[in-house]
Amino acid sequence: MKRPAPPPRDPPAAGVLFGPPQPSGDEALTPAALQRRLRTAVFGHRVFYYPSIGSTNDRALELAAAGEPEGSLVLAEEQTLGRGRRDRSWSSPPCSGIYATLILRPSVPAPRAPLFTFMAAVAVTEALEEAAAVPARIKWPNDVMVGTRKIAGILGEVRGSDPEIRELVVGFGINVNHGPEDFPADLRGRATSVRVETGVPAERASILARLLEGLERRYGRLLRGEASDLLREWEGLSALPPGERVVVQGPGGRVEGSVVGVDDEGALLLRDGDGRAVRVPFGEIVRCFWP
Amino acid sequence: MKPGAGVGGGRLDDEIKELMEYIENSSFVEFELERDGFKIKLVKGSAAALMPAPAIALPVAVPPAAAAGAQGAQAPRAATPADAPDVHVVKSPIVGTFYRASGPGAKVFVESGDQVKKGQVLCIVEAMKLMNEIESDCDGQVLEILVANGQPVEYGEPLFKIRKPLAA
Repeated sequence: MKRPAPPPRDPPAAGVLFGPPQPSGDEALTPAALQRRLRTAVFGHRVFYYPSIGSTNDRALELAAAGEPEGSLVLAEEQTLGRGRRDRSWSSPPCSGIYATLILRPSVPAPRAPLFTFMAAVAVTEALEEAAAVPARIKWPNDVMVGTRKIAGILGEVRGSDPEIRELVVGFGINVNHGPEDFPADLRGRATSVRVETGVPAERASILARLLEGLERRYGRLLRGEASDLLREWEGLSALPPGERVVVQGPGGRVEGSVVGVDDEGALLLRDGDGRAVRVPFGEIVRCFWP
Repeated sequence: MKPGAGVGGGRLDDEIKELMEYIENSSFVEFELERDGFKIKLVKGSAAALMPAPAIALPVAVPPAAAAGAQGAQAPRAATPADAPDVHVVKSPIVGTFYRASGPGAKVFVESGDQVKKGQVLCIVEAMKLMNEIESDCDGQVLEILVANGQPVEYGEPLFKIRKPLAA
């Protein structure tokens, strides 16, 4: 006799659980572990959890397109196709990092969308400090660094062509319990983790809970158009304080100058060698003259 | 292009021009060449993408090869005035860098002449590590791609011309 199919598993009260949890390792970052520590109103209450997934951002975009509400989180123990900007891969081995993507639906004009990645960088930096005692700093626009090494990356994605944002996903890759040997050889001088910095493993669920709290707290203010507090906070956490010399690849080519700050759209403000003010609306720092 | 002619060194621009002419007059639709860390991809009837060295997958910031790469490729064509009423223009909702594919090695989202559906991704405009996947806001045929890969675009800048199907 054919046995009836098992009934669908009831989702836990505060989340949606897909697939068997429990990777082996020092600590499993499961929805339950997250929710025991979480003190948010909305963010992270619905969690789509995958022991292994291609990319949390791709899954979040699919879920967002299907109507998944704001604040839902895609969380994976491992990403097989984790990526950064322009399809650069993001090394995402299991039981080491936090690979998560948050779905947002901010009804704000599309040109303000980049500010949400600034919010993300500030919240990651704060969570690393408060939950893991790692003094990280932000390299414009939103790389999270310890010294000259990257500890976390952020990738935001928006879909649509509307003048207002319909859906926005913000992906996080945070290196937590990686040992130096866990990074591909070509990254060892340029990547770090909480464990590498502090010498002890950290509780990923606590870092993620702190991150979601920090995001939720700042998100409301950004929706109301109050970006200046966030940007001043960003400047306070910048790896490149005023006066620091940098070379930036911007839309008009390379610019060298000393940092002045960021404006209300997140553009980098520099002073070039002749003392002229230069505004770089978007781009990438290609060289810093680190102390 | 003459057999054995190298792509690289000081004659790079001339050689690329020569290549483009050759492809233009040939039956190739797409041409890709990789040699000594240099890679060029030419796509006929649309913008050409040119990139130095195969992109290495890195989570850390590296010089933005893609952003710089397309300079020297075809310049964006100016939008022709007096378009027919069935021609719809898709504009950039933000300031950023225009990309025709998700990454340096990836297939372009659309080619000139392609039929597209409303909601189909046409390109990416990137600013501050925020990738904006720009969707077509109507069904139709891509008439023209107005910006070259890797070029900066302004808010409201026309990106694509789409011919909408005529009402029956």
